[in-house]
This record gives sequence, structure tokens and C-alpha cells, in this order.
Amino acid sequence: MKYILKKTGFLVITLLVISFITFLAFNIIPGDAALSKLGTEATVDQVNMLREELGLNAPFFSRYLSWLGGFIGGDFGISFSYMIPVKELISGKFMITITMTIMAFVFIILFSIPIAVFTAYKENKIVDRVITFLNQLFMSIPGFFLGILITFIFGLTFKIFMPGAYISMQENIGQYFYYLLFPSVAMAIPKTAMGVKILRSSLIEEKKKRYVRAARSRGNSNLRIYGVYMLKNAVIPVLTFWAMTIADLIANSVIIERVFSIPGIGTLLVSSIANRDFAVVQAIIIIIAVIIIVMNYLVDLLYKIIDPRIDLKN
Amino acid sequence: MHKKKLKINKFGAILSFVIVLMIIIGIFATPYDPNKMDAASKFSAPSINHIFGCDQFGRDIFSRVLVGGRTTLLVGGCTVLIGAFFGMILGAITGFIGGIVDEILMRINDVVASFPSILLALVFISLLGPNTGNVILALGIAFIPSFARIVRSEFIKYKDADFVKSAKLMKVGKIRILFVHIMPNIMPTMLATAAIGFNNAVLAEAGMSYLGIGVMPPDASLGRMMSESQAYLSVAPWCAIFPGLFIVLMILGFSLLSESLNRK
Repeated sequence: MKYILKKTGFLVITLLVISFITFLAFNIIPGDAALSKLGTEATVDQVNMLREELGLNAPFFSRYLSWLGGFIGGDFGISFSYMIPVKELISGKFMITITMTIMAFVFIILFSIPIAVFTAYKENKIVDRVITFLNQLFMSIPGFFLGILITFIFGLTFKIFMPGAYISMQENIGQYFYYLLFPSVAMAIPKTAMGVKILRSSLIEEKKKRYVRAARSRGNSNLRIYGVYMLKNAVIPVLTFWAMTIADLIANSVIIERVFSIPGIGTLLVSSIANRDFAVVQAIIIIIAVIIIVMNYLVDLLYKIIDPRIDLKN
Repeated sequence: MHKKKLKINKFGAILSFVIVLMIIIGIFATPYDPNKMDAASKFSAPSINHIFGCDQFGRDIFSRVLVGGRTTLLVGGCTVLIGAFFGMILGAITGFIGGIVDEILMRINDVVASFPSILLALVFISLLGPNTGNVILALGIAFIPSFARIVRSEFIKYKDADFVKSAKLMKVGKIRILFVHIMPNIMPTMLATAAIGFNNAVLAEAGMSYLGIGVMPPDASLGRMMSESQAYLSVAPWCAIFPGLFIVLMILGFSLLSESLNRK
């Protein structure tokens, strides 16, 4: 209980620090929203008037507090290039990114566990070596290149989906999931390979332990020993990797969205960076940061639940 | 300390060597001028004359891949140098000295490290504006925490080792202990980390350039070649596939190498 409180305290402090640093970073750069909006031909008076209007002339710290207050209340400011609240702009798009992340993550879990168990069982046999090499190969393929290959093979050659023809959830929910399946798989394959590698070596570590011999002497089948006894223990060190994977998937979706022309959060982020629309960039970055930090926090708690022996001071 | 026997992965070593050699030769000579347009060979398929084919302007893809690979190598190398240098200093200070400085720096470090490096680099790029130098700077900064964390744990490992204790007894200076006595011991780990960092930098650079906010023209980039040729994927798939394959082989070579460095 004390542990949970302490962790939660750190969580809050971390979130505050992150928000402060991000706000600071986006406010010390030359050229603010007023300048970008009015362009180079504006007079000093015009710029000053708009700054006053947008509240850019207030002292830094009070601007931070009012921005933070707004942010917690769900007011992320106004996008100056679209002239609509950032919240409206991003809420629907986050749905797409989250859908892809979840689909990719499910794919990773579904495939990496059985493959890892199988290769650990066949350790150093031919099958294991072949799969391990393929694994290394798949780990080396950038997700977006895999996306291009998938577009080429399944989209253009076999024509089982239309590249670039994204269908929104409102139009047709089945088609929406079907279209997002391809980018999700493209993101998932390199991560699956990585997951197999880590879980496999973790399983091989377990092999040497005495409980495995004990389980075998009680007449348990190999399937049961590998799939239940060993897996349970081997998965613990892999949890951190899975949490990191989710963070990476969110980051990778920024790129993969471009490959499949999906109007998600990544496309918005990239165009906002190009337009220097900092309200949007700042909001997206902070939301992603919050997701990642909260997830790490949950994984820390999960560790304690799964294995109470873990010393949580470190 | 027992001797570590390095068993280098031959396939990985050869692959990396060939790729780096090709890029180095490419600095002095490429089969064609990478920017020369030739309407006659527009979209020509891979053949003896153009082994990787030609793009929408009739430029030779193989030559362009070599030039793009150079940028990739430059970005990856410089990024690792920046990350390793500052990570080493940070890790040495926190690991060797410890205490409250360590506690605070490492907390910040953990938060930054949990953030995907490409997103961090995107933030920097959005602040600084895209170009090759800024990509290197952004990725370099993004990689400092991962190096710092590893160096720190290595320093902690050796902090109380016998050879450090005896050096202290002989009144060897702290700085000297850090850099002359401990540093050589952590080199194998550093090399393996650098190889992984290099791969991540290559991936991140390719991804950012693919998005159009990384390396900017006139600098060539594999990532941008892929995004430009994606529109012609049905007519000339080789325009996107060869630059991609080049990246895959580059990363594969280096990761096999780093694997063998890691194994003791």
C-alpha cells in the first residue's frame, strides 16, 4: 500500500515535470503563434495586439498555470492553422491510432508466445536456428518498409485491399478494422520478432531451474511444463518489454499512417510540425507522454501483483 | 578478470564490411551521377546497366542508394558519438559518485528513456526545423539516456572492484580511476550498446526522412527516396524496394555484429 502511494506520488511529479518541460520548450523558441499567424508583413503593433488577445504577453509562469489548468480540464488550446479547438481536432484521430496499437499488440502476443515456446523447446535444433535467423531478419526491417512491401504484395499484386482507401469507423466498422489490419501487422511483425527473441532467452533460462525437473518427475507433459510452469515465470522479465512495445507502437504509428494514408494522429502531428502549429504538437506529445508514463506505472504495479516477492524499492 | 573471448559473427561482419565499403567507394565514385536525369531510362527496370533500375526522373537508383546510405551512415555514426560521449560522462558521474545527484539525474533519465526516441527527435525537429544537422542533434540527445543508464550500471559494478580499491589506496586521482582504470573494462558493453544505438538511429532517420521532416534536399536520404517512389509502387516497385533492402541489410549486419559482441 505504501508502495502504491509512493509510486503514485512519483507518477504525479513526473507528469508535472514533463508538462513543464514541454511547455517551456515550446515557449522559448523564437516565433510564437501570433507571429506565425500574421506572417512576415505584420507591423509590430498588430503582432502586439494579437499577442495580447491570445494572452501571450502574460508572465511565463502564469501562462503555464493557466495552460496546465486548461489541459487537465480537457482544453488543449486552439489550433491556429485549422482555427478550431485542438481537442476537436485530435479526439477522433486518437481513436484510429489506439485501434492500430491494440490490434498490433494483440498480434504480437498471439504470435510471439507460441513461437518463443516452440523455439525454446527446440533449442539449437535446425528449426530453432532457422526461426532465430528469420527473427533477426524481421527485426531489421523498418516497420514502414514492411508497410510498403505489404502494400505492394497484398494491395497491388493480390489486390486483397485497396491501398490508400481508408474507411472511417462511421462509414463501415468492419471495413475500418479490415483496413487497419494491414498497417497493424506491418508494425507488429518486427516487434513480434523482438518479443520472440526476449521470451525465448527468458524461457531457456528457466529450463535449468529445479522446479522444471520436479514438474517433469511428476509426469507433466512437455506442453504443460513449457506452456504453463515455465511460461509463467519467463514472462515476468518480458512485461517491461511489452510496456515499451506499446509506447513504440504509438510512435511507429506516426510513420505507418503515412504509408497507408490514414488520417490519424501521426499525420496530424507531422503536418502540424511542418506548419509550426505548436498548440497541436504540444498537446499530442503530452498526451502520448501521459499514456506512456501511466502505462509504465501500471506495469510496475502489475509486477507486484504477479510476483509479490519482487523487491520494489529498486 | 577472466578473458572475454570475442567470437565475431562472420556473416554479420562481412555484411557490414561490404556495405560500409560500398558507401565509402561511393564517396569517390558512383556508377552514374546520382542527380542526373535521363528521360530515356525513366522507370527502367533493374538490368546490367542499372542494377537497381531507375526512378521517375531516370536517375540511377544504385548511385542514389550509395549516396543516401552515406547520409544514413553519417547520421547513425554522429548520433552514436554524441549519445555515447555525453552518456558516458553522465553515467560515470552518476554511477561513480552516486548520492542525491545520481538519484535526481537517473529519475529524469528514466522518464526520457521510456519515451520512444523517434518521438523525442520529432519534438526537437519541430523546435529546431528539419535538416541533417538537426536530425543528428535531435537523435543524439534522444540517445543520451540509454547510454547513460548502461554506463552507470557498469560503473556501479566496478566501483568496489579490487583493482579500483587498490588504485584508490595508491592515491590515484578520481578522474584517472574513472577513465583509465574503469573505462577499458566497460568498452565491450559500450560497443554493443553503440551498435544497437546505431541501428535505432538508422531506423529513426529513415522514418523521419520518410515523413519529410528529417534529412532535407539536397542531401540524399534512403527514407525520402522511399516516400517519393511510393506513388509509383505499381509501375516501378524497385524504386522503393532497393533503398529499403539496403537499410534492412545495413541493420541486419550491425545487429548480428552487436549480438556477437554482447555474448561473452
